[in-house]
Amino acid sequence: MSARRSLSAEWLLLPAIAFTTVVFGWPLLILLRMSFNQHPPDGIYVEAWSLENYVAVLTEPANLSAVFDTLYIALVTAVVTVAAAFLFAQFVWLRQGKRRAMLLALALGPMLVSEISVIIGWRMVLPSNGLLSWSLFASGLIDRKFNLLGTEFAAVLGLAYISMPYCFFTILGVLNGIDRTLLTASGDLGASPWRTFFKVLLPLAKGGIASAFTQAFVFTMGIYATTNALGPDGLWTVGYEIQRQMLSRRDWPLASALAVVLVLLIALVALGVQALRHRKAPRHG
Amino acid sequence: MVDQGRVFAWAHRGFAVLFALYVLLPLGITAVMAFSDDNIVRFPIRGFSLRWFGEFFANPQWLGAAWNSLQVALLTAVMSMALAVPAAYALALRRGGRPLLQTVLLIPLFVPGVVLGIAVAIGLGDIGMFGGPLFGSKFLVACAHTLWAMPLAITVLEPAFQTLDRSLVEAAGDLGASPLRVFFGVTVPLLLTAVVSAGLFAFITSMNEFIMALFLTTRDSQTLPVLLWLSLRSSASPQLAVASLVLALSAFSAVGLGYVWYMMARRR
Repeated sequence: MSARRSLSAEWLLLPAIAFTTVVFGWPLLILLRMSFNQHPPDGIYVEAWSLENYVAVLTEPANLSAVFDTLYIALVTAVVTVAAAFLFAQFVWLRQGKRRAMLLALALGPMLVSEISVIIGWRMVLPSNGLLSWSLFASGLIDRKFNLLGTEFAAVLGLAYISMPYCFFTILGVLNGIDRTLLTASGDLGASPWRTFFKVLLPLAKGGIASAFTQAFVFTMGIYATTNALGPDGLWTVGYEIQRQMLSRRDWPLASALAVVLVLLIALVALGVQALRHRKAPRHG
Repeated sequence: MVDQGRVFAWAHRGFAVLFALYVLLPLGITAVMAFSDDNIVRFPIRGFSLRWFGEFFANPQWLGAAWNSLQVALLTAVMSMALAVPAAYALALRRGGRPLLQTVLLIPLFVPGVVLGIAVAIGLGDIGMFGGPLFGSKFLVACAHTLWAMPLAITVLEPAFQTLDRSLVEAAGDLGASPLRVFFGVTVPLLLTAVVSAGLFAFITSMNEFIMALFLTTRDSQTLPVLLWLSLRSSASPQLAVASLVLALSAFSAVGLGYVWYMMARRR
């Protein structure tokens, strides 16, 4: 291949880079600048170089608890999602042909569904006049209707639905690289299914589980619509606080500072999990 | 003695059934509730009719939102293809490790929609273009959606470009075709399947997104999922189920169309 050809190929990157710079880089810089401005009572912002928004995010109890709640719900969701995605990926991995294709379509289907449709669907299932409570009541299994909407359980149910297909895909990719006869060998040598699962399969799939966990954690930290619409009123995430400051209170500087903190938190979590993995890796050989 | 392995296998099967139920339930119940004749969402459903579909298609606000969604999604698909196809081609031609530029192009994918939404609103909102304000325009929403759709498209396209049969491309070059002509005349037709699936990805990403759109639209440019999000608390009628079903069906039919195209292209 001539030097001229590869040089002209480099130019093909230019539109994408230019677009990302103008629509992503520039607005992020403005956002960063905005976070140091001040919010007057009778307007949106006045130019300033002040740290008061960051002080507000990191010291006011309401904002601090939003940060804490965001991390908490993302952690719970990531654990639940990875566990469920793993069990289902393992189920698919052990199957072949047409059944496998159908199961794959089932696991990846939620990718096509908008978060808002997931919310609307669960809001018909979970309340006391919803499908779940009614069907248990009508079949005589329970004698009082119950409400699950507005609980942490509901929030996790909805949030897991959204990151599940991505986790499933990551884990299945790792499982596909594992030799299935290892499991049979372990069983033939007398290990119980439990022992085979924990001592053979899980260690082999460790890398995939870690990256699926990071994906789910980081992804969920950025979601607030589901948490807000299905979870309890007290569960106040950073994302929702950004929407409130931006659209209802019109406090752009504080909304910007919250956004900067959210991005930093996400980067910290992603780098933290990565560092943990690499520190542990040599010890296990 | 009970065989432990069989207990395990049955427990696993039970879990898979529950999982399938979990995946199908939200959309399944939406599809049923959309045909309810009742005034509110409740069980048991008292009767079935097309009443709420009638209301949906007679309401200019819902119809307008659906039309806006379609326009924004088409624009996003076109824009992200125009940017991602050349970029993925250039990235695939490079040898060696993953270049820094590729990482830069993928970063927006890891930034939450709420952050992208307010950043674009604050950073580009007060610019005027085409004789009107950029803020509230479908073009700006499509630009924001392209921040996710383009890196997604690049991740779909790059591996396909890498497995491309280089000898065909080089033959065209040796025969005197210009690099641009080689690209559009030889490379793109060879990779049409990958390009179509990446375009579908972009379309669906945009169709379903509503947090960025929430910060960038006005009442006139509102998309369907934004209107759904804003009506969530105020409406208890099966109307929401109809609108949600319309949204989901548009994504599914986009995939269906892609599949039909693929089958027809293969037969030829």
